[in-house]
Amino acid sequence: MTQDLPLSLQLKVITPRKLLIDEEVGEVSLPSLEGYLGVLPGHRPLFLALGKGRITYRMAQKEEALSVQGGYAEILPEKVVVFTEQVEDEKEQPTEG
Amino acid sequence: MPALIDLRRRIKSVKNTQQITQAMKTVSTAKFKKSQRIVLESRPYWHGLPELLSEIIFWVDRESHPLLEERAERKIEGVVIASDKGLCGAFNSNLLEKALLFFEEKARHSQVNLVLIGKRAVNFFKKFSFPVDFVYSEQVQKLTQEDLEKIAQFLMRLYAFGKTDAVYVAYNEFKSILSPKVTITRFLPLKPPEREEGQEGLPLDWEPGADTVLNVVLPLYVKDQIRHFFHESSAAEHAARMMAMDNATKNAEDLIGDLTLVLNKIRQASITKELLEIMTAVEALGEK
Repeated sequence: MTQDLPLSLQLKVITPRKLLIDEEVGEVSLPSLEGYLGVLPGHRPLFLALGKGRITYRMAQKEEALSVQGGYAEILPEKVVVFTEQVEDEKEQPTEG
Repeated sequence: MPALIDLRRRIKSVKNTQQITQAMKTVSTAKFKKSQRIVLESRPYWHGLPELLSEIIFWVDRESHPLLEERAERKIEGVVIASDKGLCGAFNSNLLEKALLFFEEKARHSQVNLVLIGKRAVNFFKKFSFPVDFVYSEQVQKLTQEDLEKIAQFLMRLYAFGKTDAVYVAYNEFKSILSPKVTITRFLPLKPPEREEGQEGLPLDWEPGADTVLNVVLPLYVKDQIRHFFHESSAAEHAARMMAMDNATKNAEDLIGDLTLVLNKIRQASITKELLEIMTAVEALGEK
């Protein structure tokens, strides 16, 4: 199983209003109820309840973040789907190179 | 034969009405576009969640959460989502009639309580003897997320504490612009779509634990369903009003046409008559 690890994650953030994010990312950090959880491609399947906090995700060169107020995430080896009701419109621009 | 002046007045009043219906049609078209957009934009969420839920429930016991538990239907909560205003064809009457039949049938075996949303529903069910728990009769179109959440919370609490054994929702589903579809569906206990056969489930982990995850996901799902019912109903309402007003405008057009025809006939008849009178008078004078 180790030899065919996917190289990237499909991150989807879905809110009742719209599909907020649908991107290929290299790494995601999710606010679980008990602290932050980093997810890399090839993570084992996991159902995760989200608490308040920030989702940060890293693409090739840049890092972006958004705040959520709880929700739910489904993590599979090649994708992460986040269902959340409230997202604050704070989309941070690249912080580091 | 009606007098000319009466006909002219009538044509004028029909024209006024036509202008109003035309304006209402334009307004409903705009509103309909808006609610259609909301329905479209919330589609990924609305489609994603049930799938997810069926996957989750596959892994847990149905008895492990109060919202999943199935009980004999002794007490029933009926939710009826109608509109505040009329002028939208059979939108409300179809829905209310079907809902009434359905709940009367249910009332034979169990106690039915109602939650009514929309002035039309409230006025209609006044005539019957169902106990009503909860009413939203003003400004249905302006219900906010918080209001919808309150309704969802209320229903969930009723169910979780065993005050009711099933929740049914009657609303207009937006099928196409031409006709809304009256839908009555069981809302609680939750019944997620069946998992497809042969789909091999991955071994899954829960974080922090199955109970907590269910506690997060089920309320999300319930709220989303309520929201979805509303959006469907409002899209259907605007579509129905759009159609009704379009028809009304066309009817007014026809009516104006008919009335103008009659008007012209009478006018010509009277002109002919006058001419005849003059001619006769001239003839009579000439003979002298």
